[in-house]
Amino acid sequence: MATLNILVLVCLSYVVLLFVVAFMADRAAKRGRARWLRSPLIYTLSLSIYCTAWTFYGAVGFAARSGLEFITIYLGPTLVMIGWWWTLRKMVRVGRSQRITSIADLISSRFGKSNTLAVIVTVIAVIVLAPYIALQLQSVTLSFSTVAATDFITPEDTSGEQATAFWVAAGLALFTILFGTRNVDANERHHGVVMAIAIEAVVKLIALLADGEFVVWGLSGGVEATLARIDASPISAWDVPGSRWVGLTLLSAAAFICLPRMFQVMVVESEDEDHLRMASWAFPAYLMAMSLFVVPIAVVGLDMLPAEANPDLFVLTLPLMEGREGLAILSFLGGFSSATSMVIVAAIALSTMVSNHIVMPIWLRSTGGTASISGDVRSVALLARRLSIAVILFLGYLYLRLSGGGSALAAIGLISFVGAAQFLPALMGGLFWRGATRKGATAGLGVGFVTWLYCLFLPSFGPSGVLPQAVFDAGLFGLSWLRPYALFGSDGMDPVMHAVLWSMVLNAGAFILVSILTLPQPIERLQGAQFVNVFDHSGTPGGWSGGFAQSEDLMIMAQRIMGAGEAQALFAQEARQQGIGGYLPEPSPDFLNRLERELSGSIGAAAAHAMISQIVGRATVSVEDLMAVADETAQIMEYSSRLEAKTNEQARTARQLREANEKLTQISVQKDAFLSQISHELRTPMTSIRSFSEILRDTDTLSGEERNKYASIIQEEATRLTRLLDDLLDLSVLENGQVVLNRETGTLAALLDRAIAAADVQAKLRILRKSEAEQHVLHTDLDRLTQVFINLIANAGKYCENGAPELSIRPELRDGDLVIDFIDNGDGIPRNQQAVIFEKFARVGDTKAGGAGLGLAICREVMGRLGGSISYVPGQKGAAFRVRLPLEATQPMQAAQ
Amino acid sequence: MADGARMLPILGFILFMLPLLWMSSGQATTAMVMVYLFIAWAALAGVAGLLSRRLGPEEDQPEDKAPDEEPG
Repeated sequence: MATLNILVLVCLSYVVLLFVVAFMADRAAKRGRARWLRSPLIYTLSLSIYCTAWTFYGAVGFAARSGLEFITIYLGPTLVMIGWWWTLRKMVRVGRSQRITSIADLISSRFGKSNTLAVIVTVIAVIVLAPYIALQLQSVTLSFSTVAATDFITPEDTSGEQATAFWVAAGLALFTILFGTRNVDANERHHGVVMAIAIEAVVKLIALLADGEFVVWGLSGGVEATLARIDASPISAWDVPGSRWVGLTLLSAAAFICLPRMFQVMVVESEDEDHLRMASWAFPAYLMAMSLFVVPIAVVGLDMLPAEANPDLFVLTLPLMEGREGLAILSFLGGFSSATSMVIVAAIALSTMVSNHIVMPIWLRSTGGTASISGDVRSVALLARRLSIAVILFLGYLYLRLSGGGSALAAIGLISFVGAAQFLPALMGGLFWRGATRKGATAGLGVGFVTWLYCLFLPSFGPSGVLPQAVFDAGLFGLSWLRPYALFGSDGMDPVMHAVLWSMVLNAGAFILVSILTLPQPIERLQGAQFVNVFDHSGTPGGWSGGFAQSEDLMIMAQRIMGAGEAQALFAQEARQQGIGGYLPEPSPDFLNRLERELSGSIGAAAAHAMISQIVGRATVSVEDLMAVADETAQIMEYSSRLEAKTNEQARTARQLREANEKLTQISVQKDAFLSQISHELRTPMTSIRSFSEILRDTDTLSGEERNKYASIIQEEATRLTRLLDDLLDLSVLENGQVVLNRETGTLAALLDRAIAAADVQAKLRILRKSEAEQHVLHTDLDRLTQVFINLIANAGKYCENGAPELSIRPELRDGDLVIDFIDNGDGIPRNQQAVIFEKFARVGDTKAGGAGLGLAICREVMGRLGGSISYVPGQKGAAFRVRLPLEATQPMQAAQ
Repeated sequence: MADGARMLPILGFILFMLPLLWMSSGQATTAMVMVYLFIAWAALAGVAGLLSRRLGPEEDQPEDKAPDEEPG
């Protein structure tokens, strides 16, 4: 037992050493003197967490059982590393440009920042990793009990072992919590942890190499002798199942990419994409060195140790048997390093996923979904991570207890590998295929995970553990094609290969099929383009295009998540860059993008995006948003078409106004002409009146006849003046509406007779009448109507320029109105004059002597008063005027009789 | 050079799968295969080292702009 106490002491001091290293590294990083911390060598060494206790202890056991097959587990990652140009470079670039915090974050970001998907990936990862963590617990427990016992045979008393396992689990949980959850921002990179892992990588390599050196040169006597010993051993025959060789190589390659802890060190903790350059050759070399002495140790162990000895522990038992305590303790430390580094990183990776994708969204929702409420997000995140670390380790312990803890280490590890490989289709599809959709990824992950559960995970609890024996024999529900080790009748396959085959086929099949059948949402398209073409535009993720956020709200939120000091530093720096004093920068799109990236380091991309959306008040572009934009566009188009209509209307109005203006101008010209005309008209009689009256006054020698003649001229001229003034007065009265109608009854024929007689034109004008059509009785102001007729007939007499002038008068009933046309056989009225002839002072042409141009204007006013109208009818032989009287003013002769 | 880097894993896969063909002859032993695998492994790592050195930063310089400048 003294050895056990020493062992515990060594472990504790080793842990303290790691703490010191981690602490120093963290401090150096904080002071910015950590260039060597960011060297590619450290990055390469940190990748060595791939080599867990499985490698350290299990590989030898694997080799002792199945020969060289163990090596496939390291060939796969080698292929991935030397093929870094293809996949790893892209993953690291995407991880850095999108501020990815975990594999769940990557997959959810790619498929539209979907938190559902992140939750699925997280849950799968936690379940998948349970066997792996159990493996570490089992190996540490075994190594403790092996060193404690001295007969190199695993003790049968398992109760003590389970107690040890529990304490190991509790210790590791505490260790991880202290190590991994001191700061929240996963993207700040755990410098201390990475440094500690790098040291552990060196320790386990040295331990294994020292062990191998001891076995090859100390126990076997050189390389030649060792090779001869291998040839003589039970595993000398080169005979491995081809399917397992190929399958395990590919499986380990897939797991190397998909395991959450590998993702953590490879992508999340990556300082510089260029580090892959060195890792691409140095890490394969490291793996090679780790596997170099595995077969010799296995062979020598099989040869020298009792048959009951657990081959998984040859690394430890061989030095112990030879009494090399120091080497044994080094080996023990190597194994311990392997287990602890794996558990630390895996638990950090998983706890980040759990807190970012499950706890934080729930917490944010339960507190109303805003970050501006009281309560420190930071402390909640830390607490969530610490609790999830404890839960994850407890799950590992639970798996160990339930599965009995008797399995070979490699067999347990492979279960986890197959589970982790389920992420591969969604991950690779997301990185290389733009057509991949969220639904496709969800379907693929779901189908693959269920297949893995049914074919590998649940059966691993033993024939009657979780699944009853009947299911193994006859299949689920008695369906023989649903037997967990022989799906769809594939009998006789190796269980692991069987699970790999079916889970990957169904997973990839569902992923591709559903992706083809469904359409990605806009944000998925956006993210898909950013992921697949990351090298074309390693630009900004997301995109906050404008919008006005309240800087203060953002500040409050950022302080809660990042911590007050860091948030203020970030805001102040941004404000300085924008040239603003103080702590509150403008919420420019660039700044929002940067803030989102910073926050996503702490709480995951989806949550960060959601929180900023909430404060900025501008959610990510959704279909609804696009529809709204489309609606707006439609509204704008409608508005513009309405504007166009209005413009047309205005153009029409303008045209009408122009016409009216032309008419007004014309009228004005005519009025001027009339004024000069009327002054002339007034002047002429006035002049003659004045001259003749002067002659009468001044000349005494006038005869009576002459005197009489002059007096009558004066009288005639005065009469003309009076008539002119009467006309003007008449028109004025009519226009002002002061006229009083004097309704009488009479026939149209009598009216026309009167008018023709009054016009006194029969001498020179022949008038054609239709007496049979003139038998209408009119009940209206007959004098006024006669005035109109006289005017029209007199006009025809005055202006008709035909050699034999004629005027035909044609009354008829039309549309219930009495219509009387007066048509002469002259030249008619020129087209440009037709519009104005009814205006006051209008005179057709300048040469025609006669009236003052008031006649037709009076006619129009009179007809308006009588409820009818008068208009010019173009297109007749000569001038044609149409007088229209409403029906109530007329009665047919028959009716009157 | 980038094409060489892309082809290397395929070459590696072929090299690692080659021993499967030897099984039918029945003459190969675990020791032989082991020695072969380690030689191939070392060779692959060496070539990968050479390639990564030749794939200098200048080759992907245009696309190598750091997307986010770390503060401080």
